[in-house]
Order: sequence, then C-alpha cells, then structure tokens
Amino acid sequence: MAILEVKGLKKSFGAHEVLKGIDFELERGEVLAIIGSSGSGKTTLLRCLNFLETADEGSISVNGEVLFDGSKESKKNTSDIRKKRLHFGLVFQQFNLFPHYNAITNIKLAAELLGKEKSRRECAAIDADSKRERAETIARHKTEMTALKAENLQKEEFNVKKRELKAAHKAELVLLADKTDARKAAAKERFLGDINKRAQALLDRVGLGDRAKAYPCELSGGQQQRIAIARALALSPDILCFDEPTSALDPELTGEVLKVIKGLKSGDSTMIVVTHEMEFARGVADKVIFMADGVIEEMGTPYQIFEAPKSEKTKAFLQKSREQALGEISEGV
Amino acid sequence: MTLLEGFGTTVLLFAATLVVSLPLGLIVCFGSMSKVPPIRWIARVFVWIIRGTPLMLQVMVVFYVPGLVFDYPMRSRFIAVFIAFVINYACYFSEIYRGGIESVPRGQYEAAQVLGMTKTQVFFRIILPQVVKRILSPMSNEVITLVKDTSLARVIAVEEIIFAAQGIINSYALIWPLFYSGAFYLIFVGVLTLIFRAAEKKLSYYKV
Ligand SMILES: Nc1ncnc2c1ncn2[C@@H]1O[C@H](COP(=O)(O)OP(=O)(O)OP(=O)(O)O)[C@@H](O)[C@H]1O
Ligand SMILES: [Mg+2]
Repeated sequence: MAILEVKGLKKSFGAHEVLKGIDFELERGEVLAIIGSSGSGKTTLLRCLNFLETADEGSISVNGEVLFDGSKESKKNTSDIRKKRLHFGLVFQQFNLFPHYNAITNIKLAAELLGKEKSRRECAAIDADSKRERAETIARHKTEMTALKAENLQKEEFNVKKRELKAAHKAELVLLADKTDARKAAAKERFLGDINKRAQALLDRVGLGDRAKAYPCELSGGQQQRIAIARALALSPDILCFDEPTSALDPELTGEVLKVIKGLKSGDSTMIVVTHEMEFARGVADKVIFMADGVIEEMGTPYQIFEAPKSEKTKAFLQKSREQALGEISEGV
Repeated sequence: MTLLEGFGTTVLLFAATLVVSLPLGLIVCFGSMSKVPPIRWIARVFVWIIRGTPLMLQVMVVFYVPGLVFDYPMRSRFIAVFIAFVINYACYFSEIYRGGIESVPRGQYEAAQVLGMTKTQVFFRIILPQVVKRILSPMSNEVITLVKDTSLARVIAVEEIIFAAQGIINSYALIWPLFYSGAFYLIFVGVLTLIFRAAEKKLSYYKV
C-alpha cells in the first residue's frame, strides 16, 4: 500500500487558484522530486501536506489513514492538526533554525517537549492507578482488622496480632508506593531516556557531530541546513519534505546538503524534494513530477521526464533550465 | 530627611509601576493583536488615547475623576499616581512588545508548528525569548523615561524627590537639595544603563 496518497488536492488564495487538483501516490522509501517553474504551486503543495495551509478540496492519506478530507466538514481541532503534522517533516528554503538554541537543542527540543507531554500523561495515569490500588488495599486492611477483632482473642494475644497486622499493612503500602515510583521512572525513561543520544546520532548523520554546542549564527548556511534536516528527522516523520533546500545557499555549499539528502535515501526515508537542481533530481529521485500552473503536467521516472518528456511544457521548461545552467557556468568563467 | 523620604517614594513608584505594567503590557499587547476585531479595536483605541495624551493629565484624571464624577474620592494620592503610571506604561510597553513579536519572522512560527509544538510552546519557547532580545534597547529607553516621569507625581502633591527638595528650598532657602536630586537621577539612570548593558551582553551569544 502507498504510504502517501494525495487525491484531487485544490487550494485557492482568494480568486487565485494555485493548486487545481493534484493526484499522486508515493511508496515507502521512495524519493519524489518536484520540479516546475516559479509560481507553479510547489511550495503551496508542501505547505498543504504539512497543514501550514488548509487545502480546499481533495484528500491526503498516510498509511491508509485519511488525514485530510476536503469533502468533510473539518473541525479545526488544533491538537488534531498537531498530531497529523507529525506524519510529515518539512525542511525550509530559509532553514528557520531557532537562533537562540544551539544545534543539538534545535534538534531535540520538539522531541523533548513531546516526550515530556507523553510522560506526564503516563505518570498521571500511573498515579490514578496507584491511588485506586491504595484505596482498595486500605479497605482490605480495614476488613482484616475487623476480622481480627471479631476473633475475640485474649487481650495480650490480640495486641501482638494487631501489631503484626499493622506492620504488615504498612509494609504493603510502602511496597505499593515503591512500585508506583518505579513505574513512573520507567515511563520517564521510555519517553525521555534516549533523546540526547538520538539527537547526537542525528548530528553525526548530517556530518556535524562536533558542532553540537554551536549556535546557528556560528554555522555556515550549508551547516545550518544540515542541522535543519536533522531537526526534521528527530521526530521520525513518515514523509520528509524539502522545499528547495539549497536555493538559499552559495553554490559551493549546495553539495554538502545534497549529499546529506542522498544519504537519507539509503536509510529508507520517504522523501519529497522540491528542487531546481535537475542533476540532483535525476540522480536521486525514483519519481519526478513536473508541475505547471497548479497541475501535474507530467509524472514519471527520471528517465521519462528528463530524457523522453512528452509534454511540450516539460520540454520547454527543461530546455530553459539547461540554458540557465549553461549561462551560470559561462558567467563563472 | 524629607529628601530621603522623597527618594524612597520615587524608587517605590518606579519599581511598583515596572512590576505591574510589564506583564499588564503583554496582556494589552495580546489584545491589540487579537484575531477578534472588537477586542483588537478597543485595545488599539485605548492605547492611542493613552499614548496621545500627557501623562500629567492622566495622573490628574485618575486622581480627581473618581471623586468629582462618581463621588468616590481617591483615598491615597500615591495609589492614584501608581494607577495612572501603570496604565500609561502598560500601553507603551504593549507597543514595544507588539513591535518585537511582529518582527519575529513567520518562518519561526512555521518551523515550530511543523515540529508539532502547541501554541503555548511556540510562544514561550520560540517567540518570547527572541522578542526579549529584540526589544531590549527600546525597553531600556522606556524604563529610563519612567525614572524621570516619576517627578510628575508632584502634580497631585505626592512627595517624590523633587517635591521634597522644593520643600526644603522654600523653608530653608537652601539650593543644594536640587543638586542632590539631580545626582540621584543620574545615579539611578546610570545603574539602569549598566543593568541593561549587562543583559544585552548576556543575550549576545546569538543573533536574531
Ligand atoms: N499566502 C498566500 N496568499 C496569496 N497568494 C499566495 C500565497 N502563497 C502563495 N501564493 C501564490 O500562489 C502561487 C504559487 O506559489 P508557490 O509558492 O506555491 O509557488 P512555487 O512553485 O513554490 O514557486 P517558487 O519556485 O518561486 O518557490 C504564487 O502565484 C503565489 O503568489
Ligand atoms: Mg516555492
């Protein structure tokens, strides 16, 4: 089954229809490259997938679960949207790192907040559990005590037995409290334990293992974008989206970022990459979409799109981007 | 001795105004940025009125209007000045906050939202820390103005430092109390300037 299924997605800003019905599917582990001229709606499509914009019509399903359905009255429940967003990650053209946090905090912050929320909820459940258990235990202790009294023992014997029983009860309650504490500690460990290690592993993965404490202003654009990629990966999204991840970078820095993205491909990440880097799209993508004026003009394998395009618009676009690339090279000379 | 008391009143008015108007300003700011039009308009008109009229007038209004119009005279002159100052400064601070919040790029909100943060988390973890850095220098101007504005309290005979100084001059024909109060302001502002500079330095580890 397709991991992502987009059907008939439409989006207008006022009278301007930006997406005019987008349909595509993506399999797990596939890399989709989206190309197209400026204003064709590529960014808008990614923003709709990430619920930064709400589409007007159509549907979005991930793993068969319908996240968005334009035909249904959608209740704008923010905590619902938050949960849906976690299926997707987004890497922005302008990185948008949090300037006041260092690299590793940028990466782990969201995971930490989420983990704390989950562990708080779990601990509350454990507390409720243990409170009920405690009440039951105390009630049982009372009946045991009543039973003891009903035995009508000699005073001496009664006192001894009573003391024994009380001690046993007390021990039982202490044990119960210890068990609760242990369960809570385990919950905390489960939700928060390996966050630091994971963040460090992600840093290593984008080749910045030694810059954990660096602030964004101390990093080059390429390094910032690699941190942004690690940050997007930290919540293990089903689908990672990139919106022209190298467009804001100096040409000599694009390589390192593209290399990181290429590296993710082997790691079985499902990705959607909006890009102007045709060579990259051709080399990495399993599937290429060419968008023009809010529709998918052509979709196919890199070979179909780049070597044997059918649509005139695709041909013209590729021709133009080739000329531009040549222009840049000759300018460089 | 009375000079010292005047000094105490001035410092108290300054500190109390700051403590209350800083958070109140944030509330006014949320009002003026509200998505609900009536709330937004009320807040903005209110801020416009307060910023558009002299603080001296506001002090007099707060002091006299309850007694003259509602037959409920202000018990304490100090409280009247304090209320007027809090309202006035909350409005000025709200505009500084608003400028700071609006200057944080949209991308910061979006990056945080995409990472599944709640609205509260986005505001307190991502936006507010950056706002603090951005507004530090307009804030320091405003706080220094507040130090000097405290002298307006005398219009309803609250015995702040200059009022006290003038009392001494009138009764003993001495001029030095004026110099002393001048020195007091200079030292006060000097200390605040140092504090703000230290805060700026503390936040200089990152750029926004
Ligand atoms: N929030 C908005 N309000 C109004 N119009 C918008 C908004 N966002 C995008 N648009 C318009 O939608 C159209 C498509 O924009 P979009 O950013 O999706 O294009 P794009 O394919 O990403 O282009 P580029 O290659 O330049 O990034 C543009 O004409 C743009 O002006
Ligand atoms: Mg775009």
